[in-house]
Order: sequence, then structure tokens, then C-alpha cells
Amino acid sequence: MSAGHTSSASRRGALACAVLMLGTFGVAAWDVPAARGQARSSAGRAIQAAAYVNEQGQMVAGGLLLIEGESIAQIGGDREASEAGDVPVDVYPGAVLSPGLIDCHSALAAAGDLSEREHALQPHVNARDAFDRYSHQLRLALVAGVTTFALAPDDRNLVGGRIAICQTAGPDGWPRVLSDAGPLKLSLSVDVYRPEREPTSRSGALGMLREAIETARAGVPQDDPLTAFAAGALPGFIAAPSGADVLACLQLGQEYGVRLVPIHTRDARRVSELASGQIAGVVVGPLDFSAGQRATEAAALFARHGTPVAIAGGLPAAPADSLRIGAALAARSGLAPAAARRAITAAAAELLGVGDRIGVLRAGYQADVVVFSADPLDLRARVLAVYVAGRRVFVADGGPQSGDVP
Amino acid sequence: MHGKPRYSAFVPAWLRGFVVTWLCGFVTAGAVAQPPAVPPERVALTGARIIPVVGAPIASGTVLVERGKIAAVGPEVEIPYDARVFDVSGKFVMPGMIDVHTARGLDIPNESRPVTPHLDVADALDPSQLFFEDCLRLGITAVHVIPANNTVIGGLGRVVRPIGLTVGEMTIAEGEFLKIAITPRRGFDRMLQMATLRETFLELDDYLARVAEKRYEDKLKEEDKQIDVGPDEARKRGRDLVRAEDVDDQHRNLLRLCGGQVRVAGGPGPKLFQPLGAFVYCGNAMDIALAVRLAKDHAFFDRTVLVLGGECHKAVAELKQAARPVVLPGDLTYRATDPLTGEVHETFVPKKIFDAGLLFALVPGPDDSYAERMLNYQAAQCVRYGVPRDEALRAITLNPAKMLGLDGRLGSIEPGKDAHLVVFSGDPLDFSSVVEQVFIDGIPAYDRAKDVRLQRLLSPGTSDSTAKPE
Amino acid sequence: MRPVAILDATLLIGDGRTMERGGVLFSDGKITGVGENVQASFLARKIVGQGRFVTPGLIDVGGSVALRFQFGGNAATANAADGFDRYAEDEIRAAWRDGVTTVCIPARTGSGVGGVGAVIRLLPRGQVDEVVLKREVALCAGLGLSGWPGPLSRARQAEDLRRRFHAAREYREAQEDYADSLKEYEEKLAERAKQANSGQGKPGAGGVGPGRGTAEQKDEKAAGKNEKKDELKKPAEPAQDRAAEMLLRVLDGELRLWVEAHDPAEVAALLDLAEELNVALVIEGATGAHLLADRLAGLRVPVVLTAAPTPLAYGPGPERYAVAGDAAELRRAGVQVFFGSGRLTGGAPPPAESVSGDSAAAPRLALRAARAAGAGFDADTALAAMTGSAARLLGVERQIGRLEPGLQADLVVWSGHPLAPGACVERVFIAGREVYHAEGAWPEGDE
Repeated sequence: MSAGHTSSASRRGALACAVLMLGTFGVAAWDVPAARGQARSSAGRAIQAAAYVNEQGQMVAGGLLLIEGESIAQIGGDREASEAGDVPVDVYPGAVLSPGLIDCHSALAAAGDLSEREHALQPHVNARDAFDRYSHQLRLALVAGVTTFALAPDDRNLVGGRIAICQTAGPDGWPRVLSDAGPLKLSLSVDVYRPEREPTSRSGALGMLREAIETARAGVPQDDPLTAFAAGALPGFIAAPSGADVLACLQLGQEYGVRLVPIHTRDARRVSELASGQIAGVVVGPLDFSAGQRATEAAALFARHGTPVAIAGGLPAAPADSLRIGAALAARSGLAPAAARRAITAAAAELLGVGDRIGVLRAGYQADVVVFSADPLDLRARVLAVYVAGRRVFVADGGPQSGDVP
Repeated sequence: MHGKPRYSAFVPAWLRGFVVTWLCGFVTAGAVAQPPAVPPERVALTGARIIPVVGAPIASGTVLVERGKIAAVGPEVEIPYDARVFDVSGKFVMPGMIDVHTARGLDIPNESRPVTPHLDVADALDPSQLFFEDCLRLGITAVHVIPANNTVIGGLGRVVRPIGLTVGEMTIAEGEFLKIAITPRRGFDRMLQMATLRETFLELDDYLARVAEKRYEDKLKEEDKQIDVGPDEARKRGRDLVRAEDVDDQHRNLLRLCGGQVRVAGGPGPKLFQPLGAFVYCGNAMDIALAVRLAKDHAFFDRTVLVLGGECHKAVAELKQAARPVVLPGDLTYRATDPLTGEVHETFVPKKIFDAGLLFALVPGPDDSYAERMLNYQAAQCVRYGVPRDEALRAITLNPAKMLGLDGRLGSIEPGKDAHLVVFSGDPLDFSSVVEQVFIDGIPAYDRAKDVRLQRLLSPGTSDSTAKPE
Repeated sequence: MRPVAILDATLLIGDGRTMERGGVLFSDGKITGVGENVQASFLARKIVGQGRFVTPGLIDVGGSVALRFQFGGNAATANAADGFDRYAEDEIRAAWRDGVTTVCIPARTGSGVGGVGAVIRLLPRGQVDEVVLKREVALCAGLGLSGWPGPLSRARQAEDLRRRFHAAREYREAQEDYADSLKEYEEKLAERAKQANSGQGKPGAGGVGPGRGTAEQKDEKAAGKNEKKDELKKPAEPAQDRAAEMLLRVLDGELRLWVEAHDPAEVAALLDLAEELNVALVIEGATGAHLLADRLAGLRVPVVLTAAPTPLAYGPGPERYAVAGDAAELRRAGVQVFFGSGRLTGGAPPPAESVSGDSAAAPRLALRAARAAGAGFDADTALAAMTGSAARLLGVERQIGRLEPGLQADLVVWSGHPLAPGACVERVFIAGREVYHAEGAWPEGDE
């Protein structure tokens, strides 16, 4: 398959979609699971770059990262100070290490539709069951630095089901489900309204939602996502595009103590101040080049009033690098660079409930690392390599300098 | 209300007799559409507070009408012994108001073909429409009916009185204006609209060249001569031979719009027709520049009236530079939401246009807005938002008359002008004032006391189904 | 107007060159001085640009800023300038915020020929000066975008386009034939007139034979008349076809043919067509065109990269957006690459929710270029592609596109390098007038 990109002569006739894809990213070589030559990776490895993105999202100098097994053993400092004298080192001069990018709402690698038509309430559905680990979309995302994504039911059901947190690669090199216990997905988007079923209006939607919450509360406690949500134990990602939708989320939170995270929010003008301290965070985006100013400014407005912000990538409908495009747009519209970097890594992990495992470069966390040639917010920066769970799963042409030379 | 408005329902009986007399006159005159015969009557309105529009208001005075024309206005006017005297003491008399741009009164506002300069609203005017009855009730005595804005080039308009049984009776002046729309008609985009306009005028040039060529050839044929020059030269030689009857219906009005003079092969030919003007509809601010360019390119700029949409005040600099009369939108306040902040910005359009020093006219608002249908209410709004009273009154009387080229006949109470008079119970710009009487050409055309339909509307306890007229 | 001097800034000239610590002077709408040691008059308003970057106003090659009521005009004589709304302040302001001062608007269409594109300067409202910088840039057509208003299938669309050009050629041949026969006809007319004059000395007769004569003469005359009637038939003038005339201007090389296509197969079809007809082509969109990079370079066809509108009539979805690498690969092969914002409303991936009423989308040219640079496109070339080279492509390089004395003072002051993260537009000048000033931008260094 990789022949498609080697000569322009052979390219000329090659119009198939798969070849097109490889023509674009074909410069990359794949560390496929079959290539087990790197058995040492689980034993220990070091990555050396010029700088890294710290837990606050700032870029700081000194990018030495030690991997033990699937986890980060140490980050920061210089090489002499570490105990890594005898492990192989991947050296990327001038590069920046970032936590693996996280798309906190996507339909990547979804087998079939992620919505149901018949009933607006689908709390028992789990998006894990739609995960297609063989989807070619996963590779496109991975080479753009996306290591984790939330496979989420789409916005067309009032309660869409449970979000699954998946990875574009795993310890064995294959994509995997990291956790099927993600937040519940809800939606107040107009896409919920269908003529042939309830609800058909916002007040109808909120009425149904209240009824569902109250029924779940009154009923026998059971292992039901809706019950857990109604009890405030399970957070809900709720599509709330407009300011009015966000207000409805705040109202529900006050009424029932449910933990709602507005997502796909594109308008923060009147609600960003009200939302302050009321919600765990907000997910804006997806943002692309044609997003209006109001949508790109939403992230900055929420952040200004102290609400943690994550930016969704909208994969696979959007380009693979849409997470970084979204962060760059938000940064140009007033979001602090550190917050913008966190918005596509740590903040997303925290909102998804896996902030104790992934999202930051910290000892003990899963070693999901993207090596960028510069600041990840700079769209001029290239992805040089991607590590997931300590394993190097992608390396750009040229690769790291020889690992064994200090 | 009745399904079909009936003229007889409210026109005073004696006037109906009068109309019959008119009709007899028409029959003998060969039923040609002509202004009605002038009534041989003198009418005097006495004791009135007169708003002449031109000149200072008169606190108490007389308007004397002779043969449909205003004969004298003033505090001291001698009333002839045979004058029919209407004592309107304490009431306000102002010139009849003019609706300068409407497609009401037509059965269908626009032909579905995009380019129809050969059409004339005279063929579609329906004298029985309730609209005209309402005009009388609201003090509007002249209506410029013209095809609506959903067109590229619509047909000819016409200025009519809101009384009369036929279009001929109603007519004050035949069409002097074509309708042109810059804002795209339905199904067109702006590029296509402009391309269609350009191509229409180019086609006119081609057509005239062919007519000139044919005229030259025909002349040779008449003289039993052979063709002696090629087409280019033939066109030049034929240019002066083109007669009015050689230009077909499809092109006549376009040619009139461009000045009425045949121009072929770069040179001017005979002037065959009186020129026409155009009411050019500009729904958006961006259309102004396009309209000005089009009008200048085709030599009708001096006869252009710009009909503005709500947003057009944004182009006030361009309007000021063009210095053409403008017809303002019926909704006088323009509202725009700032897409970033969500704030609503309001602009009172007439004030902005007045400040720019433009000649402007007000038109009634849409049918479903009761107050805005009244031109005097529109003018009152202007005063409320800072337009001087005189200017606001002119915007519903003399200014539209000027735009229509009828300021010698309409728009003010001056000796020699057509006696279109409205008697208000109070100040016309006071919203509690009502139209009590309307005189058109000196004929008492409306009397509130005899308005059967209005009485039925206002009298409690009766409904249309039970009440019978008279 | 008071002269303005921007001093002590990094100047990105627009042709790929950079001048550290330079100054720009402009007055009366024109740039009057550029250099490291420019002398500002004491009257000038001085802006000190420490650390700031100054570029020429960016040119959106293939945008849709403030384009109104675009249905796809479908008339070769339509002009995109007629669709530009200079009062669409929200959109124009969004473009300024992004450093864009000029936009080339093609007369896009789903299929068929949409009209002629124009270059528009985003001048502020309230001025009556001319916004159209160049009225006729290229004749625009669509291929494979939609079945509206033309035929549905791509094969038919391509064939229709080809046929229209062939028909235009036939129209020209008919015109030329007519011109030839007209000339012949006129010559004969002149000859006949001369004969009549010299032979009979009857000037008024105009070529008619002698009035009365012998029977023989009459026969002769009759025969001659018939003969002359046959040979002196006035040639029929072909009907005017202004659309065909527009296509002929493309065939003559006066106008480029600008086609929006979003599939390598469509690009290939267009290249075949361009070769066959020998027309100068510009391809907009050009998703996947890197597969044909060598051919594009060989035919010297410039490419304007824009995002594909959605939904497309057919074809794969997400791969169409994976175009970051295209620019670099095209450039490596020697293709001239430009950046455009495309159909701002149509280029987005469909958001999961639908919210109307957002403020206008900005062209985001600098970020688009930065993204290309991330895939290996040279950053200086990318900047030139949005300024100097773009002006040359559009034929307006004598007015805009570079920081050079004599050119229009359309320029942008950036807080950092235009491609850098977080860099924002602080000031925009068009024709020397400051049309945009970011809130919180540094105070003026009026000395």
C-alpha cells in the first residue's frame, strides 16, 4: 500500500480514496503491531526534546520524558539528573512534547449511525458497542496527534447513551476502548426535535428530561446510567449550542443537582458569567476556519469567568487536525495559550472523567505523548512522533536521532 | 364585510348621479380614456384652518374651487352666490395626500416574465378594489400605481384618483415611469439581475440598428432602387428614417426610457417619443451604486426616482451624491441586530434622509399595520423623530407630486391647482384626527358621515351578515 | 489626509522578503516610502511598531466575503462585482480582523458557467469611491460540485463545458464567415455603383440599368438583374451571442478560466480540457490535486486551495479535508499555490448542531497558510501567496500586494508574525485610512 506515494508517476492514475489518504500522510512509516522488534519499549524508554507542555498548559524547557512500561516515570529535568543512562533515548532536537490530544466529542471509528430514531431517551445505549477498531479514520487521527477520543452518541436524542473513551492506539499497537464508563450523553440541540416523536420543542425536551430524572430518582436504585445521572453521580455531556440551552443546563443543575457539561456551545455572550462556578466545564467547538467570531470567542469568554474549557474536534467530519485548528482559533480570539493547550488535552480528560490517567505529562500517568516540531498551537508545527501507552505508534519521516547516543 | 367592495355602498347618491352624467359624456366622446369632464360647479370651503403646504398656514380662511381647480385661497375670499358652500369651521384643510409608489389596486403585482417594459398597469387596474375606497377614507387622493418589485423591468405605472368606474375616469396622468428592480426578483441572484438588465439594453441597441437598416432598405425599395451600401452604412443612413410606428411595443418604452431618441452606430437620430422616467427599486444599500450606474449608462438618471428598502439609509453618502428623489420604505424605523453583541440598533430613516438634504416621499406601511397605512401618521412619526413639520407634510403631498412631475397640478393648496382637498377634524398630524371629507377635483368624493361601511364597523351590535346596505 | 508613518517594525514586503526594523510612510492613500531609514515628516502621525509586523493587506484569492444572493447566476455575462455588498459590515469587519483587505470573488456555480469573477477592495462604508479593483478577472465555471443549475452527472458537466467552448468557436467562425461575405458583398455593391455611374451617368439610378431601351437591352437588363440579385444577396448576420463572446475571450487568452473542482479526477478532466482548448486555467478547491502535481506544474496551472463545500453531490467525505499536505506537495512540484477562504458558509464540516445567527465567518487566511506551512510549505512563499504573488495572479500587482512606494496603502499591522499562534491583527489601513483598530492594541506613539 505504501507504494502509492513513492513516485509521482504511479500517483497519476491512483485515484482511489485509500491512496489519496496515504498520499497525504504517506510520508509516515508505521510501527505496526506485527513489528515486535521494540520489545524493550515496555521495559523502559526515554524521549528527549527541547521543551514540554506542563500540567498548567505552559511550555517549559527541558523535555526529557522517561517511560516505564505504559506509564510516564519522570518528566522534565535534564538527562544527567535522571536515572535513564541505560535506556534507549529518542532524541527530537528542538521539539516540544505534548500530552496526546483528546477529542472530547467525536464520532470517530463509529460503526454506523450513533443515533436512534424511535425513542428520544436511550440511556442504556453505550457507544462502546459502535467502536470499530479497524476503521481507517483512526490512523488519520493518530498521525495528527489525537491519541484519545470520546466516542459519543450524536445530538439527535434527548438522552443518547453513554460515551466511550477510546484510543487511536493501545499498548499492543491496536486501537482500544480505554473506558466504557464515560459520561452520559444528552442533547438540547434542535436536532432532537422530530415531527414523528416527542419532543418537538425545547419546552417539550426539558419537560421530558425532568420527567425522566424524577422517575429515575423515585425508582428503585439500580445500575442504570440515568439513575446515576439523576443522583448526581454520573456527569452528563449535554449538547447546548445556544446561550439559552446553556441557561437550561444551569437551571437543571440547580433544580436536581445533576452534573451537566454543556457541549458544542457556540455562544457565551450572556451566559459565561452566570455559568461561573455552576458547571464543571464547557466544551466548545468544533471550530473550523469558517466559524464565526461569536463561536471562536466563546472559549475565551467562559475561561475569563473561570469555567474550564475543552475544545471538541468534531472528528471524523472535520479534518484530522481540527483540534489544533480549534485551539489556534480560540487562541487568536482571546483564549490564553496555556488554556488553549489544556483545552485539547488535560481539560478534555478531566471533563471525561479520565483526568487521573491521561491528559497531562505527569509521573504515573499513561504515557500518551505527541512530539511536535514546535508549539502545538502553532499550526506550522508538525507531528514528529506519537506515543500511546509508552509505545511509539507513529514517527514522521526521518524519525528521531539515534537513541543510544547520549 | 362584503366579498366584493361596492362603490355604491358609500358614494353619496347625488355623486352617483354625477358619475352617470360622466359616463354619458364618455359614451359620446367615443369612450376614450380621458380625464372626466369638469363639473360646472363652484365649491367653497369656509372657516377652515388651511394647511396649504406652500406658504404659511391660514388660521381661518376659505378655499374656493371653480371647475375642479382651486380658484382662491385666503382669509378673505369672496364667495360667489352660486357656490356650494361647505362650512368647515375649526377643521383643518390640507391638500390631498399622494401615495407615490404602490402595486395595490392591481390584480397581481407582477408579471412572471422578468422583462416586461411594454406592459401598462392601466390594463390591470381594478377600480372596484377596496384599496381605492380605503384611500379616500385615509385622505389619499392620488395614487401612483406601478408594477411591484419582483421584476427586472416591470411595466408603466399610472397616477390615478381613487374614484371612478373605469381606469380612464380614474386617471390623473398616464404612465411616465417604468419600474426597474435592482434587488433580484425571486429565483434570480444579483449577478443575473444585473446581467439581464445589461443585456436588455444591449438588445435594444441591436434592435434599433436593425430597424434603421430595414428603414433604409425599405426606402430604397419604395424608390425602386437597389441596395447600394453594406449594413453598417445602411444603418447610419437609415437612422433618421426611423419613425415612431417602426418601433414595436416590446422596445418602445425602453427607447423612451433611454430618452426617446434613436441612437444607432454612435450617432443620434430623430427624437421620436417623450422620454420616460423610472422608479428604480433598491432593496439593499448595495443596490444604490448599481442603480446609479445603470441609470447613468442609459441616460435616464435625470428621470430616476429611487425606491428604497429599509437598509438603504446606510448608503446615505451615495444617495447624497446622486441627489435623486427617494421613496422611503413603509417601515420608517430600520432595526439591525449586531451579530456579535446581539444589540439591536434602530435608525429612523426619514431623519437621516432629511439631514442629507434629499427630496423624499413617504409611503403607507403594509396593509396589516393599521396606523402606518395612514400617510399623515407616517408624517407625524417623522415630526416626532425630529423632521420639521413642514418637511414632513411636504413628504406626503408636494414631494411625491414633484417626483411624478405633477407639482403643477397636485401637492398643495394654490390657485390653479387641482382641487384635491382633505378635511380633517383636527390637526392631520394628531392621531386622533379623522378624515371627515375629501374633495377630488372639487367633487365631494368622500364624507365620513355617509361612509356606510365605516358606520357599520363603528356601530356596536350589528354585524355584516345581518346589516343591509342603506 | 494626514500622512502616517509606521516605524521600527518588521516589514514583510509581500514578495517573500523581510525587512527587520523598517518603516512605512504613506499619505493620500498611497505608500510613499519603505525602508530602514525612512524619514517621516513632522506632520505625520507616527505609529511605533516595536516587535510588530507589517504586511500588505492580505488578498483572499477565491473568497466570498459579503457576496449577496449567490445562487449560481448561470450566465456567462454575469459579474461577481454586482453581487458584492459593501454594506455587509459584519462580514467586511470580520475580514479586516483577519488582515484581509482585498478579495477575489469568483462567480461560483454548482455546474456550468457562472459568470465573471472580480477583485474587490474592502473599503469602508460611507465613502463613495470604487470598491471594484478589477472587474473582470476570470470566467468561472463549476465541475462536480452539484447538479444545480446545470446537469447532474460530472461527465455531462465536463462535456457541456467543452461543448460550450466549441460552440463559441463555431460562433466565431460564423462571425468570420459573415465578415468575409459582408466584405465581398460591399465590394460588389461598390463595383456595381461605380459601373452604374460610369456606364450610364445617371447618378440617381443607383445601379439600376437603363430605363428604356431596345428589347435586346431589356433582356440583357433582366438577365443582369436576375444574376445580380443572386450574387448580391445580403449575407445573414448571425445572432449576437454575448455569452459566446465571453467564452471567446477565454480562448483568446484575455481571461482565465476559473473552475472550482474538489476531486483529483475532476482536476484531471479539467487539465485535459485546458490542454485541448489551450486556455489558461485556475483551479479552485483542488482537493487531492497533489496527485497531479507534476501535470499541474507542467501546464503552469495555478491552484487556489479552498475547502470543499458540504454536502457535495458525491464522493468521499472526510478525506476531502485532509488537504494540509497538498499545498506543500504541489509547491514542491513547482505549482503556484494560493489560499482562499472559499465559500465561507459552505466550506465547513456540518456542525453537530445547527445554530443560526452567528457572526460572520472570517477568511482565516493566515491560519490556513500556517496550516500549510505545518505540512512543509515554505512560510515566506505562503505569505507571498497571500500578498504579492496573489496580486500578480489577479493582475492587480501595480495597485496592491507589496509594501512599495507608489502602491495603494492597504496594509496590516500584526502583533506578531502573521503565521504565529496568537498573533492578531492590531490595525488595518485601506487606502491610507485606518479602518480597523483592535481593542486593547498598544497606544499610538504620537511623538
